[in-house]
Amino acid sequence: MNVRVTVFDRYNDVTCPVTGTVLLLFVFEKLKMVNYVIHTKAYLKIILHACKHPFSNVNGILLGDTSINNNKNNKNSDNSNENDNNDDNNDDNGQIAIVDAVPLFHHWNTLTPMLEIGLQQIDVYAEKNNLKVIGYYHANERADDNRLPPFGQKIASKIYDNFNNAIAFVVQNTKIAPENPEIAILPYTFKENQWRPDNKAFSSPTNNESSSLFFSFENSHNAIDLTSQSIKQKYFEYLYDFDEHLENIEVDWLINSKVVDLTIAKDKKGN
Amino acid sequence: MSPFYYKTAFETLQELRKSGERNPELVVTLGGKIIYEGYTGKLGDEVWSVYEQVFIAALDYRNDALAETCLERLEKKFPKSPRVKILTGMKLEAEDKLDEALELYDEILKNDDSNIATIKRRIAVFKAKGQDQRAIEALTHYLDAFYNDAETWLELSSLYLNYHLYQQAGFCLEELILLQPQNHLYHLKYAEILYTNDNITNINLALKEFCRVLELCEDHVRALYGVKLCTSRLLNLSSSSSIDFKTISDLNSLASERLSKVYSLYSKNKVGNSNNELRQIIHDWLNESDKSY
Repeated sequence: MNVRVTVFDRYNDVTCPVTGTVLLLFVFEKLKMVNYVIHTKAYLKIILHACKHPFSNVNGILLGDTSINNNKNNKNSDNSNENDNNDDNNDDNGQIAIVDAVPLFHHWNTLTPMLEIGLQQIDVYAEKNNLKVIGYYHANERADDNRLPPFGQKIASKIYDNFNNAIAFVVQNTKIAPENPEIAILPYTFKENQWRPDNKAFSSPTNNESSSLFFSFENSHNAIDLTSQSIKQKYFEYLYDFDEHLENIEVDWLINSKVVDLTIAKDKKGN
Repeated sequence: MSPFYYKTAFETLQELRKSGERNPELVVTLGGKIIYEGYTGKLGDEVWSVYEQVFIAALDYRNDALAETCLERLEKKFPKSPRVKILTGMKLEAEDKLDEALELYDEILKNDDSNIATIKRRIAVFKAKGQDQRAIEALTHYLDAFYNDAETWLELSSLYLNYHLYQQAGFCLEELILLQPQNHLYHLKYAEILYTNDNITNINLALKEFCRVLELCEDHVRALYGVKLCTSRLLNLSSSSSIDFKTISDLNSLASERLSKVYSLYSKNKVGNSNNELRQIIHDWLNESDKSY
């Protein structure tokens, strides 16, 4: 019964008595325990991309390290993994490391041609580095808008077709301010045939017992502090997306090594 | 302290006003210096446009004190000007008092229903409220009267695109191409809209538009990718005999050739691990997409 209450609490918009039962069954069927760990590099790039183009919609792709995921899984549940070998996308109990983000567009992000090219090149890059496209991120033009727009949902759903723990992040523009930085991303997960925001994603697990998706940072102090520091230093000027690469092919949109060197590498040296 | 070259600052501000580039940070820094350190007297009559410019930038940059100063001086000088009233409205918008701003704009329009700046602010308020439908209606209404306003056609097309209305968005771009046939960016966006609104005729048209971009702007990387993409698609779809297989496949190889040329030119003068990696990725991608049909 506990589960039932929570389900209705969280999705007030679907508390129709008939669909209620259907939803409930669906939740039980799809119950999975997934722990998403967001790495500093990924968080940094998402937020800096949003900061660089404050007047536009921006979007990009999240890359995950599936090899880490499998190793961790092996430790936790040797047997289940062996059984599931033929379908390694389906590890419903596991840890997914979101290790990197690749910024795509800021001019317009509702058209497909350059998206196709960008995704193909990201695939090549990801494969070379043993990474996998696992999600999508988006920041809206309007500061108070935390919705995942229809086109973003389509891209995220495409990723979901290939990876059933796919995730989408929407940047909460109002929480970026470097004076008082908070976690400024809102995760969306695909549940009951829709992309739904997980507003309690970063609250402590004790408040959240019935939820089976966990979100945490590789190093939360690090991610948020480093990001707000680099906003103050205006490092976002060195972050480039695919739109900018197409205007000047000298800029590095896939790795964005300069931003990483300036913030993360330097921070490691300092310690 | 380095001396403040106010003349250079004046020129920079003037250039920004002309180009319409939105760089609030720079404008606030320069404008703040000019206003607080008493250089306004040196501006002559230009001072009023500078106040207006700095005011808008200050709203953008959330520098409320500076905005207040600018608005006060403008109101004192032009107490009844609708242009200053619009600025008051923008301040209301910035304070999130959208309905009050809307009332103010409606009042201005009652006296002068062809005040373009006010009409546009009104549309901006609809957008800020998330009422895209009303914004689209207002934009089409406005364009009936002022059909040669390029900026507005572009705004309308991107609103249509948010709702996957590709045909309507394409129409806006056709109008823009009629207005400014030499502007390669309009051809580019038109091509991308056509490609997105997926069917064979449209992909053929998109290919033509991408080629037009290359005609206007040699080795335009985005358009080269576009040609590559359209031709690959057409070759994959080539079950129908209606397309000219030879030309399409020649165009495809030409696009690949130009792309590798463009990328090899740049990587020659660059060294470093990440550059090698990037070059390798483009190389692999080109190989892969050549294999795919």
